Amino acid sequence: MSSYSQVERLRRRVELYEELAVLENAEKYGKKARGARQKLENARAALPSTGLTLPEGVVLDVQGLCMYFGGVKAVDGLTFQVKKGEIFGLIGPNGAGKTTVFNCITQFYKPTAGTLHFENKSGQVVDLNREKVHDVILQGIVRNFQNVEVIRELSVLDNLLVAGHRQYTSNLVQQALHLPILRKEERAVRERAMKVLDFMGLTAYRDWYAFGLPYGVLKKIEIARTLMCEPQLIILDEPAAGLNDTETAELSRLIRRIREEYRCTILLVEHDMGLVMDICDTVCAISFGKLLAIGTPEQVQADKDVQAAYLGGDGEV
Amino acid sequence: MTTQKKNPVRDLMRNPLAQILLFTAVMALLQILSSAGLISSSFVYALGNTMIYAVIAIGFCLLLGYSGLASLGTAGFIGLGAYAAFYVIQEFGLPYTVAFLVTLAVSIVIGVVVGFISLRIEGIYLAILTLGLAEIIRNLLMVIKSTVKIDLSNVKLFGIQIGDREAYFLVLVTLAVLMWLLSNLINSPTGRAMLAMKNSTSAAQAMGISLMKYRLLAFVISTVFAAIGGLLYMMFVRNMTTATSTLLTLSTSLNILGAVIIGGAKSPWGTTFGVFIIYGIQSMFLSKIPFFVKNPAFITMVTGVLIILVVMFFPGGFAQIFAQFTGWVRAKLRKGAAA
Repeated sequence: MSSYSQVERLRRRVELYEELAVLENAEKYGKKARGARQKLENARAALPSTGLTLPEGVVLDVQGLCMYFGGVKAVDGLTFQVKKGEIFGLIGPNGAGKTTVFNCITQFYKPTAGTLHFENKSGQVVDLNREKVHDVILQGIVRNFQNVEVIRELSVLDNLLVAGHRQYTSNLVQQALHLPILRKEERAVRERAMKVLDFMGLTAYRDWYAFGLPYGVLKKIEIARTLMCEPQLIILDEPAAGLNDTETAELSRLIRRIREEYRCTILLVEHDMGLVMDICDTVCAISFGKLLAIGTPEQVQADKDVQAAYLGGDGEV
Repeated sequence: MTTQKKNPVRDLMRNPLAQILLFTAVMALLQILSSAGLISSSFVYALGNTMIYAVIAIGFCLLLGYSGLASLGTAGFIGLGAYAAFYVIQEFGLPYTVAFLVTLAVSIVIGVVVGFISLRIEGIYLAILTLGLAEIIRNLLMVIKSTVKIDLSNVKLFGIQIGDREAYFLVLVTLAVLMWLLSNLINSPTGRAMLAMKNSTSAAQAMGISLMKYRLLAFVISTVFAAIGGLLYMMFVRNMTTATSTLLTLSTSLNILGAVIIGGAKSPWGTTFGVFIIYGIQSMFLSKIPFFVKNPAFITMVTGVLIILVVMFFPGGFAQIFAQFTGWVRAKLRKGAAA
């Protein structure tokens, strides 16, 4: 039996050795790469099968999700599916439970009931409820936060290296002694980070401390961090909050570019209806933790329950 | 941006290893000068003593400055190291290396157990819990043996008889090695993970950082450093009456905390400087002034005032003051060169 985190670690090792075989010493690292690859294959074969399947084209399947805080039913029997490669918008009035849904998917909260099935990076379907909160990232789910959570005491580049934390395979001793393998690994991760910074247009801020940077830049750093982790599903919690109109327009272009470049699925919560209607393929509206409507932006916009929830009518507006 | 020349000296001084070697050389030179009779031996003794506290404080610097955890249990862990040294070397007559390994093992085990229990809580509650624990350890040690005393006359390390001078170098080398390991760790994924955790627990978790793992790691490392401090204390000072000594009381934990804050919680060098301010000034200067000799409580007051001033005006500690000062000097120089 092996765990998925072991498999991921071995995969990183193989990648590092293969890269070093090309860059430095073909014989030495080629041999190490073959050894590590063998181990990786053994570990993959020893991975217990989850026995789960998802319908064709679905990446995330949420079934009967409930999250209760005492008597408060923040999410109450929510069911929806996210298709591979789409931009999926989750909307609803304040307090509808949107962020709670995100927190359940990323395991910040353990749901009271319901299942969360997800097809991870290697095509295996996993039960997210069995994952620890810090292991969710290995499956390919990365998120940002509604109130920007950038590490202010680190430079922009270092913030991205933190996002690449699980890509390091060096152990504590190798780190404490700064052995060559750590330095080589550091260089590889740094290069990856530089590419992301370039993609996001943040290269100029590389060595700046995050502390004191403008809000728009901090929001971009958060998105850059998600790109650092080979995302399969990016979860964005109000990416446009606090941005002006120009920045919002830029953001919608950026989100589309991310989907094309990184071939990932994007799940977002947003209050800016213009943005949601503009970029989302599917929109899901919820209120008081319950599903109101799901469909294309036009369908959801025309839905009577949705209009009532937003305008406060009695459903016959 | 007129003259952005490569400055080999400055680049070298930014290398942690070069800094450590320079520090070691200066400290070794002071000892040699004292052997030659040029500096009073009490000064060097105070220096050695201060370096022991520096070992403890840099470990605490990782805990407070990087992981953002405040513990008040440092003194208890110092006691563990001191008693381990006493039993292994004095009672069982085993060599120093064994004492070192035992101290390491004991502090790791105790650190893991205590950390595993207490790190589920944060902030002030963690401080109070560790404080209580340190008192338990102190009282326990006092009951086991009220006075520990080591006779080094037949203790050898690598075939060298350990005397006053050798003990000083032992402390110095240990500090240098630990400083090197710590600065490596800080500038590696582990250090960044801890800093991430301190800034935002949720972002850290979302980025795949296990809070328990890194909190425990920081806690165990600071425990090990404190215990090594206790071991070095027994090698250097050689005796301690637990009931009357302040080493294992809250005041030591607070002084270490103060040193880390004054020095700059994120900088091991700043922390070392902070220790020299708190312990060095006390043992080298204040203890020579009759007023403070008569009223030792006022020494603590000086420390307190210093902490208040630093926290109010320079929350980054002396590391921040130093960085601002060098920045100011550099700006002046550039202006001078441009004119």
